[in-house]
This record gives sequence, C-alpha cells and structure tokens, in this order.
Amino acid sequence: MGKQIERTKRKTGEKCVGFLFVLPSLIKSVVFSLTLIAACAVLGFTDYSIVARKGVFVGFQNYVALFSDPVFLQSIYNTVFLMLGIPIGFFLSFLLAYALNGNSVRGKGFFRVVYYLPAVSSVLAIGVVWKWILNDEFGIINRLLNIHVGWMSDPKVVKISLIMKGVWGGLGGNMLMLLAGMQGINGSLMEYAELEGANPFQKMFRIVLPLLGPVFFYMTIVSVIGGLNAFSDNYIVLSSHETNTMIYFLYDKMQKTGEFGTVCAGSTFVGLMVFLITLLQFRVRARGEAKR
Amino acid sequence: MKRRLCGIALAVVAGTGMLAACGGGTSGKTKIKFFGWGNIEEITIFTELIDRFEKKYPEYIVDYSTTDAESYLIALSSNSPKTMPDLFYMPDTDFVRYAMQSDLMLDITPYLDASETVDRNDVYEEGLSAYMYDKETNTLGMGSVYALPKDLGPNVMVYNKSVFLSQGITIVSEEKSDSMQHPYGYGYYDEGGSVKKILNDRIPMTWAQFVQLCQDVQTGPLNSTSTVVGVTHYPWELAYLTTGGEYFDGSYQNVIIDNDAFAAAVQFGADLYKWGVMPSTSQQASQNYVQRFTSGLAAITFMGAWNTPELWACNFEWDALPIPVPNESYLKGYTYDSRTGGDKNVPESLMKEGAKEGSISKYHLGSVGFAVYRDTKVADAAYKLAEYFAYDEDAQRYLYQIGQSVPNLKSMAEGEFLTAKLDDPMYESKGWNRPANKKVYIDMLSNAKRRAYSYTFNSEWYDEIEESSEEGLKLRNVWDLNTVLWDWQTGTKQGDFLQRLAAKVQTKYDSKNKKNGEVVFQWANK
Repeated sequence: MGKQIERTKRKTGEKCVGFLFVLPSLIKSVVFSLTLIAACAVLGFTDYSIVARKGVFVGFQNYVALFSDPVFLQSIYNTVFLMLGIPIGFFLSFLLAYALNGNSVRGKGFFRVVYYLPAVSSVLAIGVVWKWILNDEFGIINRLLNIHVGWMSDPKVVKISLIMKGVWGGLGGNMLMLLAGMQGINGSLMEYAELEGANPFQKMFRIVLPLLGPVFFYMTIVSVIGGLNAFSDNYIVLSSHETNTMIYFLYDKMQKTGEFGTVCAGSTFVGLMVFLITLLQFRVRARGEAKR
Repeated sequence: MKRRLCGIALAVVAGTGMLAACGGGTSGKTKIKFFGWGNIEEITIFTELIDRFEKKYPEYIVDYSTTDAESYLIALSSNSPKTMPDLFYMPDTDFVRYAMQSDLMLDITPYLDASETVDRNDVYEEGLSAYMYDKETNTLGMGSVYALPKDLGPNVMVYNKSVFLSQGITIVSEEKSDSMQHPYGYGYYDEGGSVKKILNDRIPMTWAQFVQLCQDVQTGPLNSTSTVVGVTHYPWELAYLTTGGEYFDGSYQNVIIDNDAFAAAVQFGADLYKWGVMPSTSQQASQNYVQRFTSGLAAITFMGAWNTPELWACNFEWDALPIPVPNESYLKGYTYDSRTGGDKNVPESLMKEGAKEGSISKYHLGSVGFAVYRDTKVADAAYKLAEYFAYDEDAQRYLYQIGQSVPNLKSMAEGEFLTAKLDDPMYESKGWNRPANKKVYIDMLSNAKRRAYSYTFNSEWYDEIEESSEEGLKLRNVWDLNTVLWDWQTGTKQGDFLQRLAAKVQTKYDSKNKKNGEVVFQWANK
C-alpha cells in the first residue's frame, strides 16, 4: 500500500516537472496565439476601424461583405490556383531526391547544396532576383529563349510565373526531407527486393513511395498551410491584383481602409480553412492507415 | 563584493530608467516624439532639419522615428495613449477619415493664430485648407486647423534636354503675349528660310503638339531596348484633369465619369502606344518610369517635385515643362497606327489648333501634414516643431535648396526660389543643376488641386476606376488596345464601358461616403 502511494506520488511529481517544462511554451501559445486568434474571431463580428479605434457588433455583416466582393472571391480562386504548384513541386523534389540518393550521380554533395540554397536564402533577395528573371523586357528567360512572354504583365501568364517561382523555392527543402526519408529506408529491404527480381520502378512504387508516406504527409500539411497563407511572392514580385491571394487581399484592405473588423473576418475565414483542410488531411491519412 | 557590484549595477539601471522616464532628459530639455515615414534620403533630410531645430531652440530635444510609408498609418493607430508620438505625419489623402472618426489630432488653430512666425497671407491656402475641418458641420476645408503642410508637391512634366537638343529641337522661353514669336508649346516655324522645330517651355503644348514632339524625339522602334522612347507613360488622370473634367457633380452626389472628356483622355493615354511613342503596358511593367527616364531611355516623363532629387545623378541635362492640354477637336482625324504603318506626322491643322475650351494645364498635388497628438503633454513644443518644418524660413530654404519641395511660403516660392542661383550641397561635385524652368512648379501650384480621393472618405471608389473589380471594366483593356473608348476618326465616345464603370464607381462611393442617400460630409473648397 505504502509503495503504491510512493509510486503515485513519484508519478505526480514527474507530471508536475513535465508540466513545468512545457509551461513557458504553453503560456506563449495561450498569450500570443490562442488569445489573438480568439480576439480576431470576435473582432470579425464588429465594424472595428483602426482609424476610429472603436467598433460595434455587426453580426455576419463583414462575412457577407467579403463574400460579395468579387476581388476577395478572385483572391480565393488565385490562392487555390497557385496551390497547383504543390504536386508539381513534390514530383520534381522526389525525382531529385531519388537521383541524389543513389550512387549514380557524381558530385552529389554539390548538387544537394545547390538545390537546397533557395531554402536558406532571403525571401526578399529571391523575390528581387525572380523579378528580374521574369522581367518582360530585360528578363533572362525572354532573352535566352528569344520570346516575348508577359511573365509579369500578362494576366493569363502571371499565375504561371508565380507557380514556377514557388516550385523552385520549395524544391530544395522538400528534396532534403525526401532524401532523409529515403536514407532511413532499411537497405536490406531493397536488397531483398532485388534478389526477388524487382526492377527499379517496382522498387520505387512498391517500397520507396509507401515508406515515404509520413514524409509526404508532413510535406502536404506544411505546403497546404503555406499555400493558403501565400503572400510574399505576390507582394515582392508582382504586387498585382491579377494574382491577389487571400492574405494579400486582406493586407491590402487593411492598408487602404483600416477596416480591422472586415480584415479580422477574412483572417478568421483563412484560419478556419487551414484548420479544416489540415483536419481533413489527418482524417484521410488515418483512414488510409486503418485500411492498411 | 558581489553584492556591492550587484547593488551598483541595479542603482545604475534604476537611475537610467528614472532619467529616461523624466522625458525631459538630464538637461531639463523638453522631449518631442516625432514619427514619420520616408526613404533614407528623406530621413537624412529630416535628421538634418531636426539638428537645425535643436540648435535654434536648445530647450527642445526631438526623438525622431520612422516606419515604411505603407504600414505607417497602421503603426500610428496601433499606439496606446502612452506611446503616441507628440507630432506625426498625416497624409492629406487620409485626413478626412481621421478628422471624422478619430480624436488623434489636436486643434492647432489657437497656436497658429498666436504665431509670430506664420503670416497666413504668405502661405498657400490650398496647403493649409487641406488640413482644416469643421467638426460641427462636417466640412472639409474650413473650421479648425489640424495639421500644417509638410509640402505642396506639384507634378510636372520633365524632359531629357540632351535628347531634345540632339534631335534638333530648339528650346525657347517666351512668355505669353500678343506679340510673341512662338505661340505654340511645340511647333514648326519657318525661320531664316528653314523649318525649325521649336519648343516654348512657357506655353503648355496641346495633345497634338505633344504627340508630334514625341514622334520627333524618339530615336527608334518601340521593340528595341536601346530606343529612347518619346514618353515613359501617360497617367489617365493627368489627361482627364487637363480637360477640366471632374469625378463628381457639384453636389458630390453623383459620379460623372461617363463623358466624352474621360473617354478621350483615357484613350489618349493608351493610344500613345499605338502611335509608337510610349512603351506597352508590359514594357512599362518591366521598367518603371523613373528607371526608364533616369537611364536615358525616355525623352519625357511626369514627376512630382519631391522626386526630382532622383534626377540629379542623371548624366544628362533635364528640365521641366507644363502639362499638355487637349486641343479643341481631341486629335480628330489623326489615325496613325505604328503597327500597320502610315504617316506618323500630326496634320498641320491639328498642330495649329488651339486648346479645348475649359482645359487647364494641371495635375494633382501631393501633400502630407504635420499633426500634433491631441493628448500630448508637450503640445507647445510639438506645434513649434511642426511650425518649424512647415513655415520656418531657414527650414524652407534648406528644403528647396536640396530639391525636396517648393517652399510653403509664397514670398519665398515666388521670389528667391525662382531667382536664386543655387549651390547644390548634395550633388555639387557632379555639377548638375535643378530645372531652369522652375516657374512651372509655381504655375502648377496655382492651378492644381489635391488628389481626388483627398476630398472623399477613402480611395475605394478611385481604386475601382484604376483597377476595376470586374475584369471587363479594367482600364487595362483600353491600355492594351483591346477596348476602344474614343474614336479619333469620328470624334465620338464608343460603347457602354464608361457607363458600366461609372455605375460600379458610384456604388463604391455611396457605400462609404453616404448615409441614407446623403453625402456624410461637405467641402468648403471643391
């Protein structure tokens, strides 16, 4: 009996110590994240203006205004369209990682560094460089290919430009994660497959890809969240309404009108989207795991 | 020992904190917190001005901080009463909103009335009235003064004098008179048996003369990256304002952009590309107008007075010109298209045609005010600093000498600003001068008004014109020559584009500027 009490006390003590360790992070999350998210959600139901610094409850009026604004609807479409770059990026990252994982490529270390460079470079610097790469008149793409494509000015092309830049920017980071995942695959599995007569494609589809499932899952979550929050590319490279993303729209709205209530409503909507899509991804994955 | 050291350290920290908290610093000076925005050049200029202020008024010390212009108002409004600056920038375009909705700005009328420095007869009225608001009647342009103008920045046309001269253009400065020899802004004159191309920089060109000038100074086709193009761009608003056009009717109830002048103005700005003298929208996006002009790849551009320091480092001579005005028939009959060929010369009848009745050489002014925080504890000091920036003779002289602005003091602007041979403290070594034709800036001050949305609650209605939320109503369709608003051949407005656009602009305007169908505030000086 005494021993059991002693054990219970020890467990409680351990729990307290553990709790103390996570307390700073918890406080940070509550103060700087949850409180602000809650405040944003509440302000989304008011007509709070940064100019008047006051507001009254207006119910769903801000949401109605947002969803009747064609520019906001266009920004939702643009955000989703730009996310088409995610699967393209995954595919290219996988090919790169697969190539750099084997022994057939010479100078692997060099290529790994080169492809990873965008991930550690300044977002601003990259934006400015791309601005010049895509420049209609003086850009290197148009000059080298001797073409006249309005990469930055033709409304039909600018989204493609942003997808190109996005894919390029995410290539290194995703490649590195997939590479790490591939190197974690037990070598004996591959040897066994080879002994069984599996060809490279079979090894890729039957062993490598399934075992990289958790890595792809993580990459999808992060990329989708990043995609829904896309801002900097449009801000730095184009600053155009043609490629307005949701966050850019809200930023622009805030700068021009100071209508904090409307912006909070929009931000709550984006936050809700991120939450629901992430939840959906977890559910789909859980169902997939259960089937397996 | 350790304890003693800790004690000393704590005492030092506490002492420093107490001194800082005194606000006046150790020397008993009054501290003024001043908040603004600007690029490095502007920050350098204001740091210098503050040094001068502190030398002139040693009882004050200024704590100057800045942020970027884009996030400025949000940063300002995010302050708590304790952290609010004592003096801050207030853009003229946002003044109405802040005057109506917020209590941030102090009514500085009593200070201005009691001032021994400011002579109200010697300051530009448009500069001051931009920051006047009567809270009882909600009228802009009268009542209490809430800010003093930092500057009144007129926009003018600037040109590459070296290119003009190399293309055989003779430049004269001849004031308007009955006996003048060169009555056109630009024209061909038979002098001494030969035809001379003469630009009179004192007379505004007509649109026809402007197009011919662009044709004459351009050095090659538009698709060559080494061509010096006629003009970098032509703002649609500039073209429209010179027609004498307005955005609203007299009561400010109705949007009136569905008219001939608006259609012709937008079409004129677009067709300069068709006429082969202005880069396409795509080319304009590749290189902005300042870059194109300063790199010597454009003969003409449009620029605010505050931007001219950017031109001092140019390796060519430049000068200023009045804004062109529409001619009587809006270029009726000029049908040249550089893509299909033909005679690019403007018919002589159009070149000699007079300006359209009611047209005026003007463009909008840019302005920013200095506002004092309503609850500041150092209102006297903050006002003193605002007054120093806005109206002190030495400060105004310094500002115009470094090319930052035209003086706010009429006597200075129309006196020494025009006549002084200026030393150039920043670019002296290069030997480049400011524009010789400085009178253009003064002329523009007397003609110009502030930006259209300075007179309304916010710029959403104006943004709808600039970039409509409906794809088919974007002005870009006209600039890309996919939509025609005006036919030069027949001289008539085309389609229902403007009717539809005006309806959308009206909706945007009504949503923020009207309550129960009535405009929520008035204008003393529209």
